[in-house]
Amino acid sequence: MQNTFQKLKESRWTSRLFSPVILVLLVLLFSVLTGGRFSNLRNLRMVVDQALVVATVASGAVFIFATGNVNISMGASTALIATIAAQMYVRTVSVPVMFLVSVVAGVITLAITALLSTTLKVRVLYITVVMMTLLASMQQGILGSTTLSLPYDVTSGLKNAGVPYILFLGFFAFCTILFHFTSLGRKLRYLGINDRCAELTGFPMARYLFIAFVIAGIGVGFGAIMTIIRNGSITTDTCASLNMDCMLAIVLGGMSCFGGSRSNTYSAVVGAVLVTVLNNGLLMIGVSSTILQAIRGVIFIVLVCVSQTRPKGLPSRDG
Amino acid sequence: MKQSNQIVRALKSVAIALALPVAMFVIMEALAFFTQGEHIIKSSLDIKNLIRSSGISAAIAFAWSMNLTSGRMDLSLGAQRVAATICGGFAATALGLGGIWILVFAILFGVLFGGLVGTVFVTLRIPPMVLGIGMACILECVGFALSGGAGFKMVTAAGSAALSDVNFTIAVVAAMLVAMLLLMTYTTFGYRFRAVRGSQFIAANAGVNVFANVAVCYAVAGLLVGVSGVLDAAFAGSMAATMGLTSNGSVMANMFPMMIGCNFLSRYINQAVGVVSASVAIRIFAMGLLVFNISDAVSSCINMALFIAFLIWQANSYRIAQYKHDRERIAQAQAMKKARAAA
Repeated sequence: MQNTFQKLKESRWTSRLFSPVILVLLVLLFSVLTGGRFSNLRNLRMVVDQALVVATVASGAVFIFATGNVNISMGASTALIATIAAQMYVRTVSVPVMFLVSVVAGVITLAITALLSTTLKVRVLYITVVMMTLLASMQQGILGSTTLSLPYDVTSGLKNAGVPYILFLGFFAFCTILFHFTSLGRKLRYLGINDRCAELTGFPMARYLFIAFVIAGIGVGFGAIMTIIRNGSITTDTCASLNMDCMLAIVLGGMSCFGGSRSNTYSAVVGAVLVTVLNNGLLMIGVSSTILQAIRGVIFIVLVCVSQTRPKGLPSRDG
Repeated sequence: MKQSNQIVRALKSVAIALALPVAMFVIMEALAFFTQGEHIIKSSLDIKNLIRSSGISAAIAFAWSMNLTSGRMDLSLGAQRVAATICGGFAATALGLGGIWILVFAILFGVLFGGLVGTVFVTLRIPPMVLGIGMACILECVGFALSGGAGFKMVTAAGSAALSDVNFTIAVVAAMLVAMLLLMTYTTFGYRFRAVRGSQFIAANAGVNVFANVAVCYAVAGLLVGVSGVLDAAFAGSMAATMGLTSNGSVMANMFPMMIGCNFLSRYINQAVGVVSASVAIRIFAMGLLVFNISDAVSSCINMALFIAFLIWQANSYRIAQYKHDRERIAQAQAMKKARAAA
């Protein structure tokens, strides 16, 4: 019996289908509890809209997570890039310039983070923690206590043209092709399974980690544009929970936080929708936003615990 | 002879401990005086502020050192700090107690929350950083829900003036320093802590209960952030309840003195003394920046940039040693070649 359960747990189909099944069950549960209000078209569309930013940023972050590393500065990076891009729009009144600056700044920011780790040998964990504080301080330095607002007709025009959807679909397709249909994805997963073995085979961690950060940087750039379009204004509170949501999305989506062979891009999307469904559904059934955070914390820990193969000893060196 | 050697060694340690803060003071004072025509310490109030902020910083740095030096990044420290201070404050005031009892209750709640995180960690064995994020979500919620989002107002609590007294802060910091020094240097716990830090596997085979040791580390870290939270609240007047993992911001900056104290100064002096020395130096640096009318955000950016520079130096210092070693070897080889040619 225990053997069968173990086999079922370790089956790749279990890890692939677990999150989508949970997602469907949650949608059904919230629909019943809210008397159908949750599953009406308007609300479902709102859930998808809310999930887009997290899904885009998390899709890029999958490349970093796959190598067994964690970047906890994704939220701060997105917030800073959104501030720079919005500032650039205010100065130039040009949407293409805003788009270009956002993507370029995203790539540069994460490339610097990667270079500090790969070339200058600082541990990824330390550097992302420091970068999180540094980038948040930079955003605060640029904005102060002001709110940076974009004209409503610009943001609503972009939203009505479906720009967030186009950006997300384009980036997701790009990530999926790279991760699942090229050797890059295989090498990143190999590094996540056993970095020493991968290095000896001829796949240097430094090179592939840099590529992973650059791809995540593109995701951060797109995520920043979507944030601007969705919010219309940028404050120091923008993207405050994005980092947590990204990590939550990746883990809830069924990907291992240790990286490796169970990494995939759809985890980010399924996880992002799951996080949003959870937030939206719990709020609709009357759970207060304060308690919501605690519930997310509990679910996060439980799911990490249930879905990961845990070491016999205590994990320490990997953060 | 032996006694004089000990005295020389003790004096040397004191000199090294004082060197960093004094050097930082001299540099910042010179910069402030020659560019702005001002001093970084203008009144006794500045000295009091320096002592208070250094004490808060040292307490958080000590808390980081309990886990981070062993490779465990506990991202729930900020949330533990907020939750322990708010819960401790509310518990003390609810019982009609004030003053030092707020600190006592905050310490108790700090131990409770830290111990809880540690117990969950050793039980579930998921990566500490991932666990830290989850636990931070829960603990932030505890502090926020308990205070209704308002946090804990220290100024309205009875006897809170005693907590903001500078002599009290000095006493707490001194007690903390002595306790940490004794705990980490002369106790079985400290010995086992170092064994686990070296290798969990070897420590376990040598009979150390790794799981219990790690859980206690988390509890001690919780205690220390509880102390820092009360000192901070007494200094600022309140402890704000935060959500969305923003509680980490206040503790992240104090990772820098921990790194200097534990990874650099500990080569020359006791680690606990090193942490306090580094905390004072970093606070002097921050006070120096105030003279230049730099905003908090820019000050934080400079601080973090320095931190990155320190991390880069630390990660690459072996390369300099390697380069020197290589040059010596080349010089030796060339000398030998010449000698052979001459022979």
